[in-house]
Amino acid sequence: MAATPVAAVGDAMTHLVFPARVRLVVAIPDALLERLEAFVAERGWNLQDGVRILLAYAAALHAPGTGGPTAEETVNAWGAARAELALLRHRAYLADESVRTLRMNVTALEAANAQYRRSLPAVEAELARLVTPESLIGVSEPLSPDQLATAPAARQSLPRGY
Amino acid sequence: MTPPRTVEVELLAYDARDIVRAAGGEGAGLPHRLGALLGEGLEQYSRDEAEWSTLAAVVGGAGTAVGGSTAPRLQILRRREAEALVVSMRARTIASEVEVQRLSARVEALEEANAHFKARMLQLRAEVRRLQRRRDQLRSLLERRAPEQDPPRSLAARLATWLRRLWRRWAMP
Repeated sequence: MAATPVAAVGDAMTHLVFPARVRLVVAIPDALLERLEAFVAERGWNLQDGVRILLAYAAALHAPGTGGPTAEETVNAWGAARAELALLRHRAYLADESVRTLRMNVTALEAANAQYRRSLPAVEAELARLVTPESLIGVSEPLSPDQLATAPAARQSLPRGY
Repeated sequence: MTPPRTVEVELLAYDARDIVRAAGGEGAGLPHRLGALLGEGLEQYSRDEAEWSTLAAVVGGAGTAVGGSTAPRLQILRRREAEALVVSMRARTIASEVEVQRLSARVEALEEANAHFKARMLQLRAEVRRLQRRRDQLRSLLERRAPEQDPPRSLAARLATWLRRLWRRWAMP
């Protein structure tokens, strides 16, 4: 199948509705590819943009109803296209900025979380080492100073370090 | 003969529909037909660009003749170009916006995990500090020596105390 629907990543989570997208596979003969690459490089486009623009350009010539628009219709359509293009460029600029910022956030958060994953076991081990002194001498309630002073057995049962 | 290189392009479905229709519709050999359409687009765009340069040299850059009348052919060429650019830009913009959504969801998930790790770390550290304090407290209690009892008092000292009390009672009734 040549036209493949593109999975709408994230749409279900955000409930934002994006227009459906598809992927088209274009087979480009070598001779055409050479010319195409030179053509897009000359205009500062990338290959994807170049293919899309040229496909749309050719398709518009085949579209029905474009044979004889009036001058006014042409000017209006041109104006509308320019306005939409300006709006799309602005939206793309904002989105690209957001993508850049979000990618930095992802990198920073992944690094922070990786650091937590590395350091948490050490703190958990420290906590396991610091078992309650009371439990070591076999009582459940914290001992009062008097109890401790008069409990030589307790003193002896504490390990070194306590 | 080497097989043609294939390029995948992403487009909005309604723009792709027009392109596929112009290429002869869905079906076998569509990638090759799209390749032919692409070649046609390249030829036409190059021709139109050359024509635009010639016309623009005659009339003003904005498609307006010096005398004020618009050049319809220039407007047609500009319209074609702008509409083709819009098709490409729509796909790019939507792709970027979808990427924003995907990354936002990822950041949200990572922030949630980060908050969980942070809370866990704070809790563990507080518990470690509490236990360390308790350990130090117990250690100091255990290391403190038990208070020594006073040595037994001598008979002379006890007699002196008794005499002092007697004297106080006699002197200050």
